[in-house]
Amino acid sequence: MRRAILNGVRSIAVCALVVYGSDSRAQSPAPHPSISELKKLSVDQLTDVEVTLVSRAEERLGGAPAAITVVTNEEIRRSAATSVPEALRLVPGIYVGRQTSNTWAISSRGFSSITSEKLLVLSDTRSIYTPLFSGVFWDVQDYLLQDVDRIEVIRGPGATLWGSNAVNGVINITTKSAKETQGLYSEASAGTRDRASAAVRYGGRVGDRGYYRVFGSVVDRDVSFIGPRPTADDSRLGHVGARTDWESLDGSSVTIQGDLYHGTMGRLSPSVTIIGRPGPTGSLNVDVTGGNVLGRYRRKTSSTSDIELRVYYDRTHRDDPSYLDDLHTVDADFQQRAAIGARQELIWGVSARLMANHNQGKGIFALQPPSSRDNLVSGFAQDQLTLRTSLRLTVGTKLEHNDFSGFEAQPSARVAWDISAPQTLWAAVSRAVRVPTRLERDIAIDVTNPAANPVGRLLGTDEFEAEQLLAYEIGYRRQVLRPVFIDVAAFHNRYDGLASLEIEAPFVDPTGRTVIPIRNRNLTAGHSTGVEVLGTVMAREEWRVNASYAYLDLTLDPRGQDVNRGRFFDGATPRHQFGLRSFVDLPASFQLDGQLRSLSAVRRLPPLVSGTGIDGYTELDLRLAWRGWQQMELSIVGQNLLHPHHPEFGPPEQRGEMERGMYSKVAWGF
Amino acid sequence: MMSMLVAGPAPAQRAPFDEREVKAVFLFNFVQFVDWPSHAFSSAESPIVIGVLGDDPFGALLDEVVQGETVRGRRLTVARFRRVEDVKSCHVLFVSPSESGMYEHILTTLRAQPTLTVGETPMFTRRGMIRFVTEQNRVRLEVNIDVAKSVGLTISSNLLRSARIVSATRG
Repeated sequence: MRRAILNGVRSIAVCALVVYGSDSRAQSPAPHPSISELKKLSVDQLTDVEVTLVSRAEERLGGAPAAITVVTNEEIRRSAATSVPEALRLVPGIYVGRQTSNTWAISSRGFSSITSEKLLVLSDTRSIYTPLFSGVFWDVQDYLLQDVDRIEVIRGPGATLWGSNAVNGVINITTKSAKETQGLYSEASAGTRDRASAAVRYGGRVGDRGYYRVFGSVVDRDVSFIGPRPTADDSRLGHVGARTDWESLDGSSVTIQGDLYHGTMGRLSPSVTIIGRPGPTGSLNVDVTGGNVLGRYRRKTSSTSDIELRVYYDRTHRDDPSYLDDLHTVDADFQQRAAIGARQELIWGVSARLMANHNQGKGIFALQPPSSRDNLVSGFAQDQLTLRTSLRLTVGTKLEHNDFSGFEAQPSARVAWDISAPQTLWAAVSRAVRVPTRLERDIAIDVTNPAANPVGRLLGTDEFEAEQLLAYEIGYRRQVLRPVFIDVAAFHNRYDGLASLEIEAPFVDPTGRTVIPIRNRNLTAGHSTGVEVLGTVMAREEWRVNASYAYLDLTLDPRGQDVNRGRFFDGATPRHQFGLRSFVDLPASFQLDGQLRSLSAVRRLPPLVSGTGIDGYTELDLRLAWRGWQQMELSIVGQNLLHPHHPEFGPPEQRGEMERGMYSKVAWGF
Repeated sequence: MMSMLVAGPAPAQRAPFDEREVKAVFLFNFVQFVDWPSHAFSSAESPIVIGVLGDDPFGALLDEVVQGETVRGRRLTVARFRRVEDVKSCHVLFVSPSESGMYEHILTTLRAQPTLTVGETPMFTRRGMIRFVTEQNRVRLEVNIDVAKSVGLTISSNLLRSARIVSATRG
């Protein structure tokens, strides 16, 4: 769980950097034929020279031998998104289904659920998935989007560098440094779905080389389209945060940052329901509180090596009608990147994480024992060899010990071939694991009348193993030349030991009752095949169009009873997803941006006993903005314009439908 | 953020040019098309200084371009600055995109100095003088003459002819 993707991308990808770029100033400048050619040209001629462009995002992609997409700050700002989950709709191959106003199913390459667990999510290198079920509570992942520098998404395994849970993808959310967020910024918006939101940020300097920012934000989200029922999914969240960055002349830097949030999330249905057992009733509000503090030190130890040390503490508290959950996480991480000679770049690191979790069930739900301390210790090493100037091989492995399933090795081999300057072909084979969670190890719930004899009991087990993936990937990227940018990735994944629920032999418990145990086992296998395509056409500087398509075919093969129908996950992700975006700079400082998405049906979901699923849908967002006066930007945004409302994900009693909506926003100081 | 200075495509492939090469040559050309007021130089021998403020995207390119060059009897040198407060006696200043959050501060600090400010992000020419505009795989120029005039710089019509002109009072 790991590391700025920046470093990862650098290491898996940009070894050429060491050969050519990394510290070119230090090398004596060899006479460059092109420079003298260019100097002979007149200004007129110079403005007519065709160039290859290096945009910041594309530059980071480099010749990375992985399916990486970077969502930039500008793309987020010019989308209709008001939250990170919505911004992820822009990424091909990522599925985003909004189940209620504040619950999301976000997945990469299949296995969608509101507790999607085969995805690693990092916020400024801090892991934000919960060891409770290895998914992410997206409702509390709040950002001032103006200060998000980029969201990097790797589809497919990233486990060698980032560690377990990076099975089907890694999402790394990176905020801007304090230096990049100087001065006063404020925004306020009002609308039909996000009823009101406001944020203020101020950035200043400390001494010669230090920068800081502080910010605060509040958001109030309205209920989705739910019809008459006693519950509602509106929510409120307040968030304050701060960050400081110091840079020294020799390239060392120190970052300290932290957040605090508090909010209330309305739920449409209880988080845990057992048919035949009474659950919580009335309005189902979850109180959420949390905070974190992170420190990072980076130092360039020589012209060809750098080190990074990072430590964080994270605390989350959820008071859910079904349980009370407290989690404290302490994580320390060290890594070094070093060039060995001209042809190799080695990156290695060690890390340790301590998680103290207390989960007290209310009524139905229970973990046994309620409190647990779990550790995770890991080390990794990865070497990138430049075989020829155009051919790079990256091999590495992660070795990790966790308190759930013991030792896990996650190796990978990747090869990249730069066919010509802007074109890269790559292929990879990797193994990744999804380690067990507290739910799978410690759960203890009576699923039939607890007073009856015999009683059916859902039981965790220490014997539950990690789920395993062997992934084969291939990709092509034409990355530098505009006006056309193309990125294609295809994969074949083979899964083994996927979670299943199995009824086992009855036993008599100490109270003399017969218990029919239903246990978490690893008796389902599966395989998936898919393709993701992203194309950008930039016909003119003021008009950019971007199209994406993703195809996924997942087959699951239960070899046991699969009591909870985990095999139904094969239908939980749309088979086809299509996206089209357009960004236009109009005269007089207007911008007109649009985003069309079309998804095929969610065919079936484990909780949908009927097996009917949810129809596919097509939706359109439009944004008109004007930034013609001073430091002010006014925008008006329409969301889901094509239908009055549509369902996206989840069984009927648990979901709300997403309504057509609009909001207007004023931002000052961008 | 150390060493994000980008490897270009393999140098064996020469055409088309890397945009940074073209921009570096532009910075050199500006020296030939701009007249500075005499107080911009402390003596008859002082060099013409091309500066980069913030993260330097050019690496060694800029040094190569100006190496051994003289313009109107003055040597050319390259200087790199971390903070705008350090910018003293600089004639052409490329403001790196890494400083985009601080344009107000930078351009306010420089408003009385005879420094030709050059940038490349969209709003730069509101208060800066020249912006590199990349369109259709070409590097074009956008010039705000009013800002240049206000500090006593004269830009030759030979340069302006191939540039898009904006004025301070407009977008």
